Amino acid sequence: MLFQALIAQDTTFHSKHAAIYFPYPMYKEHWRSSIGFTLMTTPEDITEEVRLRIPCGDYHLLTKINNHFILDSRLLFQVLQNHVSTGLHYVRPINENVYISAGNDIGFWFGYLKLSGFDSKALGWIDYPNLSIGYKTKKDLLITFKAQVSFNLYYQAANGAVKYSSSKRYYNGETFTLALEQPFYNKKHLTLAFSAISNKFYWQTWALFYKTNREIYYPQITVGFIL
Amino acid sequence: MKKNISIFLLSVFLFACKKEYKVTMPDAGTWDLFNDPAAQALPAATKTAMEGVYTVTNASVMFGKLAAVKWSYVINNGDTTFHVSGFFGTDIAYFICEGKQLNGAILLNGYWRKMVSTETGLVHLTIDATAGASLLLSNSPLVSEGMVQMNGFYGQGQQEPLTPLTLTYARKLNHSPTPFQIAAHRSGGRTSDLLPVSENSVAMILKTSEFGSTGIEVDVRYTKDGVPILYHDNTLNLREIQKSGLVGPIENYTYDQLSVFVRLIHGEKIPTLREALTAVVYQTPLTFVWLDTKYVGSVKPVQRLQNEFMQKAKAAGRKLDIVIGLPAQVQFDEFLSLPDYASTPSLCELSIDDVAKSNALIWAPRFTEGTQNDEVAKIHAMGKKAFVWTVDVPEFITRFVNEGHFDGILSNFPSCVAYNYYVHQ
Amino acid sequence: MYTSKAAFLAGLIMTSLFFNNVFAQPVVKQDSVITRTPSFILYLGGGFSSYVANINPQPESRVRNVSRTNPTGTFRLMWHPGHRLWLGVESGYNNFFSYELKSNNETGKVSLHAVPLMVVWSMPVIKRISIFAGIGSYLLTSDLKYHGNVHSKFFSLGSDLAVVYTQPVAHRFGLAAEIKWMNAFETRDNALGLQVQMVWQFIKF
Repeated sequence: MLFQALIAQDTTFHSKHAAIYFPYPMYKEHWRSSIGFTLMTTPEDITEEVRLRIPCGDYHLLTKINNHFILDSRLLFQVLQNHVSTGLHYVRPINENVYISAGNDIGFWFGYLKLSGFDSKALGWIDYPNLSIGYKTKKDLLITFKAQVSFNLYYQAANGAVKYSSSKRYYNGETFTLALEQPFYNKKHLTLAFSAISNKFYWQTWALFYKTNREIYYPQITVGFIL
Repeated sequence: MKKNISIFLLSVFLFACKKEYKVTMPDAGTWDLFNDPAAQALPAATKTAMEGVYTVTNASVMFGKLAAVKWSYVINNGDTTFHVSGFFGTDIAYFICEGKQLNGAILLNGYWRKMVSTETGLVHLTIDATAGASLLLSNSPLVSEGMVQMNGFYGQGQQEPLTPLTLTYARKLNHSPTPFQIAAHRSGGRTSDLLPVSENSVAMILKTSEFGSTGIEVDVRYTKDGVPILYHDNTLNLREIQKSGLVGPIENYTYDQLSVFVRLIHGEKIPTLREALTAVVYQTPLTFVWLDTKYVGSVKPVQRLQNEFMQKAKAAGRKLDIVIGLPAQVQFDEFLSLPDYASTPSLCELSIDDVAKSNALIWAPRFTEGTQNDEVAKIHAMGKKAFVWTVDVPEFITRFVNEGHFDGILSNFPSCVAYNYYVHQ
Repeated sequence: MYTSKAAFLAGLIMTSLFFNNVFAQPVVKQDSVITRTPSFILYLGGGFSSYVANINPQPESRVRNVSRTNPTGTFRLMWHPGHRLWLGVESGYNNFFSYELKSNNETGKVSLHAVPLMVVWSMPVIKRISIFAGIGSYLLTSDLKYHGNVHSKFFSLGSDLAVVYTQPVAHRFGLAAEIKWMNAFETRDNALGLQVQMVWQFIKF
């Protein structure tokens, strides 16, 4: 009953072009996407004077599988290092205002650096189980809290002829994200997300250092323009 | 409902905030047996004979299967203190102990640490008379496989050591035909690795031999009034110093101002290069100093100190090489403007051609270009040495020691380089 | 020096109060300055801030006259595109702290000043109350007086978070009370500020 009611509502709610993080089922649409960037800082004690990474491009694409399943794909790109992930997410409403999703994404990252003093490249596979809960306010604001953990599956690096790889799987850490999605200019919607990343290894820092046995904290902001 | 969700979201978000990591070094002065007034210092020959590669039993999961055991010393106010260090193959673990003899047995008392984590604790080891102490304390000890066994315990933090640890002598330490430098970055390691003393401090210089270092790299800058000091970063920042309200480039301040207002993370003053080299020559067994050039300007004040302290080391009967680092073109050009650059010991990070041009003693490429065995062979053919920097990933250190032909490795983890070098066959 | 800055900021507040009194009309359109009408809004004001992070000058026994409460000011320009979310830029001034340190019978003085340079997002949360979240840098300046004067600068990454209550007082004018958390996280400088601000909806589409 609830699903039918919500499907009927879907024509009035700005779900299309309005929600990327918010776990809203795709009843009548086939895809949603956003383009934006992420910006994070790195820990001073490890990366020293390199405190601010250059912004990372962020393309996010949701594809409908059926009323309850969405394929969530994301490309994070910085040219010299890039990360692509995809995974199936189960989404369902709890009531008219609260929605949840559970999913598992598989990520692949790679980087290369060949300039004075560097002849390095690396790649890896990471698994990201995640849960989201979204709250739709009476206004036009969507609030989503996403909790995600990660497991490093594979790491490979090469410096010149010296190669190293490890398929030792380990718990890498957790990421908590608070995302706000709402209209911004004309009918365009915007995603603002604040993430607290605590990881032993973070793919954007592969050229600065490998992993530590302690989780390093990276605050991150994501700005996305929903297309 | 709304309120509950909000509180939940907020609290979970807050809990995701940064964790603080710190290492509290255990106090090793609590072993009553070791503190027995009858306990005596170990003879020099005993210490030398004790050095070697040991097999680890009981605790091989914790520390790995092998340990390289090596002695070092430090001189404070005329008193020499000896430390025996054990370097392990797992998680960059090591122990650092002092040694004494008591009733025919040898006692080793100290602490262990894993550099990849915050784990640390006490270590108590004993070599009984029948387990090799009699041999080691004899006039001319000659040790071979299985003849010395250290038995004891390790614990967590300040807790009494209760977990068994046994080390059995297996063979001599590896020593390559030509001297190999285990060079410690920033005088011994980074402050971020939660060491008990600050990087680029005199306290770190005095400690680094315990970590297996045979040499050090230090970062040299000038103060506003031209005093060469040790400091790595471009600016005063909280990675290196305690909060003082002073910000910006260190070159904006005179030595006097820094000396009064600025303290390193563990409370030390920023040392002058003179203070650092004095400590190296008169208080440590270090045989190599790499003066990494972080400044842009005249090399002459640094060159004068280099000359002065190499002569002082020679007069003190110490073997010591002090080299000026040439990390980039601007420092290279400045160095070549010295009238006597060709006879000034230097280390060049640029090309092999630049090594020849500057007559540098050492070529030092970044580790990210690999082992470069062909290039290293060319350098050796020129009668020069090759060091690689800064290798910190244990797996890469192993590969560089086993597959590379470098004459030295610069690392923030000299204990890891020491382990790999000494156990290499 | 500090007296003159304090006087300047106090003057700024008084001016804004006077300004608002002058334009306070009996017929005030309710919440005229925080509507969703596309517009540009200017915030200008000042007050005082208290430095709440640890200061750790050494040796502690020789530290004197630590001053943590100092004048602060804000300049903020916001674009209201016509929805709930606003975007703008912010700057201002803050004197984080100062102290004296005695060495060899001589006294040195350190003072740390900050100019925030932020990109600010804002949203109204309830009627007349909005939150502002800024991210950017603080241009820090150390003033050291000891054996000469040193003025040394450094950009510290940082953020701020403010809760602002805006009371409409005239057509397109309002008076705001702001509580703001300032966080120069690279240098671990944190201050809590209280300000009074003039709010002016100077362009309306």
